[in-house]
Amino acid sequence: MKKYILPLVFAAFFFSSCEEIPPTVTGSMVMDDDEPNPVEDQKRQVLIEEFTGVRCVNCPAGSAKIEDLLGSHGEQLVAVSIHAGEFSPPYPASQYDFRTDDGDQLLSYLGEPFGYPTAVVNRKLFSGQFDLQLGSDDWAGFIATEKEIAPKVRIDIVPNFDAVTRNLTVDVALYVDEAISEPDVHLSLMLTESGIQDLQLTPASSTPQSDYTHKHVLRET
Amino acid sequence: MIPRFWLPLLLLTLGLQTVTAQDAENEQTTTNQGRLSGNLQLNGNFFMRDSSIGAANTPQYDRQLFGAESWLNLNYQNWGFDMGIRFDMFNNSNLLNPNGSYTDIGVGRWYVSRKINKLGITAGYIYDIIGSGIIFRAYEERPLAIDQALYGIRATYDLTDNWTVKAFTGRQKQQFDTYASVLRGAAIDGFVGSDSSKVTLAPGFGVVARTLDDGSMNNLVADLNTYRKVDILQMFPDTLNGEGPNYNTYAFSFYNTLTAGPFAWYIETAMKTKEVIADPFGERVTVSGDTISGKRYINKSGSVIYTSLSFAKQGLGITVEGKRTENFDFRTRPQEEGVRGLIHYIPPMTRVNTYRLLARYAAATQFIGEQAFQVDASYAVNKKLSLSANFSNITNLDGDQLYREIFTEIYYKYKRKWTLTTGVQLQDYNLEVYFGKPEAAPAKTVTPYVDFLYKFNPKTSIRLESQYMSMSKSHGVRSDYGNWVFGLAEFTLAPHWAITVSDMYNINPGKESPIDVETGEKEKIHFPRFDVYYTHKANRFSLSYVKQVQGVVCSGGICRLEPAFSGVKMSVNSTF
Repeated sequence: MKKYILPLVFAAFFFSSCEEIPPTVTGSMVMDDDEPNPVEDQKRQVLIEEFTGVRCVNCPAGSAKIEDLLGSHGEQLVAVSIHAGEFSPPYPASQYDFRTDDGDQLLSYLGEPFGYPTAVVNRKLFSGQFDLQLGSDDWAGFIATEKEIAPKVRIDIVPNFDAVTRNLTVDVALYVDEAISEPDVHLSLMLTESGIQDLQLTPASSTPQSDYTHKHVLRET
Repeated sequence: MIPRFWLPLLLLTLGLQTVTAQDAENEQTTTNQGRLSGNLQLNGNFFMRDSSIGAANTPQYDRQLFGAESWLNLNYQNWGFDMGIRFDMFNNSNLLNPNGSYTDIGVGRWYVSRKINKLGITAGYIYDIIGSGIIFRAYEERPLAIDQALYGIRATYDLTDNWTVKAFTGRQKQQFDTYASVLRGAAIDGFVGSDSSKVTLAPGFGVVARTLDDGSMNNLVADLNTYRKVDILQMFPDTLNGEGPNYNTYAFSFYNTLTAGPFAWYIETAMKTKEVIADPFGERVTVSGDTISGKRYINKSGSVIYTSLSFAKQGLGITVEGKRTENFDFRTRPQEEGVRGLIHYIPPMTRVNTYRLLARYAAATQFIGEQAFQVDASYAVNKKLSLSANFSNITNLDGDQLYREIFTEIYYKYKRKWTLTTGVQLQDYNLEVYFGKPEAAPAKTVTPYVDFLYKFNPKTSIRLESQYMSMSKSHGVRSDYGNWVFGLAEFTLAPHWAITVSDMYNINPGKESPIDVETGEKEKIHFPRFDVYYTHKANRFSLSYVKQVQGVVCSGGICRLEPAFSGVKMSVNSTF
């Protein structure tokens, strides 16, 4: 029996710490208040840039997840859907081509994802991650982490749209709360459009859904 | 960056200093006391854009034009130590992510190993396996950029001549970094019987545990908190009393090989404690009310049973295998997908096809649910003629067909002048599951093939290969890319040269074949390939012009979708 003592010791070692205190899971906590906050009270805004395409069968699941996250985080989360990459060419019957040169450049700049759905959160390489592009299971966690950081700059955006001339004027005021050491800081404005009904491939059918509602589609930067 | 280099460099410096010093003294002594060996693999890809086949819109085709990978492995043995270091380089490489570009360079592996009487210790990047790998396999598969080395320490101890126990702990490698989750494991392997025994047993038992890191758990909880409460209650019924996702997951495995005369019977049964894993074919309703299909978390325990019975006697060989998998996705963190972060390896239940068209539809191992069996038989009628056949069948746990293959082969050898290999393969391949194509009808193929080798003299030979794949239709349209024809001619001038010319032609295009913009018709595209191989002793060089259709690339049931390729490939392989 002596020869079995050592393996038994090993087995005991493995089983010894089976009891653990798990984290609490609550399920969704939807925010009721999504009224815009004045800039003085502005908290950190988190940007999620979703890369998608009308031929991407799994992307609607990612987009639905973003809708849930917008529901949970309210104004603190800003979503942009960028149609770029291998699944983004429109169908012959598509009404719109959602691709933009800026979107292609952003994909090239931020890196090709391993798979879809995919998104980049605050263009940040997070601890434990090896790519800027994140699978949809990692979005919620990193958004929650980013939200807690105090903003360095508060941004007040006031858009003015003239329906007659169809001119959009945007006034942006920056309130710098912290000294910024980076020598090269840019301000980008992104124009997105929601509520566009057009073709989108979904897991429900081999033919694309014609009345799929596309949200926060990047149109211009 | 510096710390990750210092130890390997120190090891290498030590090793080389010894060799140099000994060289100066006496070369013979060097051979007797220390041994330096190694190998080099170098791949270079020149990318030539071809939008017609989909070889476009990646950084390599758009602007980088060239990518390379290299691995230089050096092993040194001396003073009872084994040590090694591997230099890895990826330059604008599409190996890690076929659609992306990856550039990094550094020490991909180092290790030091020492045997002290019955105790063996290894530290560094360790490759190892428990049983057939169902609960743990740390291995490298370069064509898929898989390198699941365990970065840690391992101890082995010989209890007797026939019984060995081992234990290890560490973290899984991820390129030049490691995942944060901690792994630990142990196994005992034995042998009962002797060389003269008619019946022998090789039993074993292993256990592996993974402790999820805080970052991964935080992300997991945050994601679960976007689920509806009803889904959470389904996953954690006792959530009010503190039930939640487990940090620690334990996987156990019993295995044994019994040999009795011409029979060999392997059986392995494994189970895994409850953990949150991702079901890639799940469905759930979001808080916003949308129903989403695709990856969703489940909280379940898992099991695998795998068995293989083989018989071999007098030219007859038969192997019967069976496997049942349920919720056995074991990863370093549940967020990882595809080939990434896998701690284990489940043996595939299909034959490994090598002919181009026969290998086009490969069945990736399904971790959530798979029921499979395979029969493989071969019979050598005489020295000239042998026959073989294979049948494999894979369903999910609900009985839905995932894969079926019938394969036959006749091999005939006429003196030393020529050989003929021919047969037919029938496949039934679930495109919905393996290619993720919604509502796609299964690809049912019939593929006859011929391989003829003619030797002009002992050094000069020509080999001709031909295959034709006939694809089933659904609603009047051929599935996937439709019918293919493939031809290859290989001229060998032993021992140095081999030249290969081949073409894969989409003779009757299918649903996924691209449309010619000018004619509006499906395009019949050629995918030619030209290879030159030169071998000199332990060095092998290759230069190839390749146009390759998009498809699945697999290694042992671990697969990924591979986009089309157009360009020139070169490689150097050397061992020393």
